[in-house]
Amino acid sequence: MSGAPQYLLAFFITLITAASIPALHISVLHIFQKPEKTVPWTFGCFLFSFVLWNALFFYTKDPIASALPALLSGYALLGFLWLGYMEMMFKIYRGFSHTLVTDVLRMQSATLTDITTNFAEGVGMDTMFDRRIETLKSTHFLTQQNDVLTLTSKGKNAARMGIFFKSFLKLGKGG
Amino acid sequence: MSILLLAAPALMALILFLGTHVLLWHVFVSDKGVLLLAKIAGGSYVVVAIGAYFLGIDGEHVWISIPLFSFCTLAYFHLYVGTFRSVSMRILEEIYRVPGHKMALADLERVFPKEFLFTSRLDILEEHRWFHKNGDRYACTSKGALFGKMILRIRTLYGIKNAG
Repeated sequence: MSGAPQYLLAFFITLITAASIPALHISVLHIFQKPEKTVPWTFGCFLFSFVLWNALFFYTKDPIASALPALLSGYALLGFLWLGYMEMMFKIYRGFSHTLVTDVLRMQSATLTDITTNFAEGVGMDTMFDRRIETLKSTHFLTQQNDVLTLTSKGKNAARMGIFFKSFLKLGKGG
Repeated sequence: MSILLLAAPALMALILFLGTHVLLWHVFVSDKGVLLLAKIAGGSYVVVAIGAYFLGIDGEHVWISIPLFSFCTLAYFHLYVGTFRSVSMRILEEIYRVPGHKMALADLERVFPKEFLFTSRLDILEEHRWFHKNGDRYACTSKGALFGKMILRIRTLYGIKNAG
């Protein structure tokens, strides 16, 4: 198998820079105390690791023309690790099932009513729904006037895509 | 060896994975979970890698095709779960189905009852043995408790409050 050293170098640099993502993320979240930015800030941490990756790789490697395969390999691995990390953080922060598990663990044993009223450490199911709607409003997917919700053009496009995807794969309504 | 040739097995495996996934989802499968999707993805890569070996393609491709295929597959998993299981996406779709794409909150509650969210998730958690049900009470299994404690530790480490 040819070219193994350059790939090993790319993988080694990827592992080092990928480790910087959680380290930076934890630091930033503790410094700024904004848990609502948990998921968006993973993008910033990824950009930092990406710059660091390139700096380390090109410091140790020959010019770009001979490094293209290792470059693609390292980018793909870094992207994979970042996507996995982002998914994990999304589940831990906003994951509905994950929150149910921690709630029931905290209550030890609970009925459906206990679970809905004490969802997310006592926040309750109404607030959970309201949070989703607030996020959709702040990201310009919908607007609200009094108690009427209206889709923006961005919201319509997303809904169209979702309906098409679910009907194409016969997934039902989901949610 | 050309970079396109090195990346080709990843693209072939991706095509095989998506094709098999769509076919199975249309024809055979009732349980459309991510675990089955992951098995199909893994199987597709193995089939293509064996094919590449017998076609005499240089083994160097694995350095590129494994990370590239893993990245593309995980990106698809994001799209799949984000569309299929997302509460926000379901809200948008329910409003889209109404003429004028406007809906009162009370009507949204009628077509997408909040309690359904809980009962459907609780059923899944029970089915996957995270919870067990005794009468009308849910409790964590040892697997669920271990997982729950791990989540709580990570939340503490990251300083995350108000999760959910």
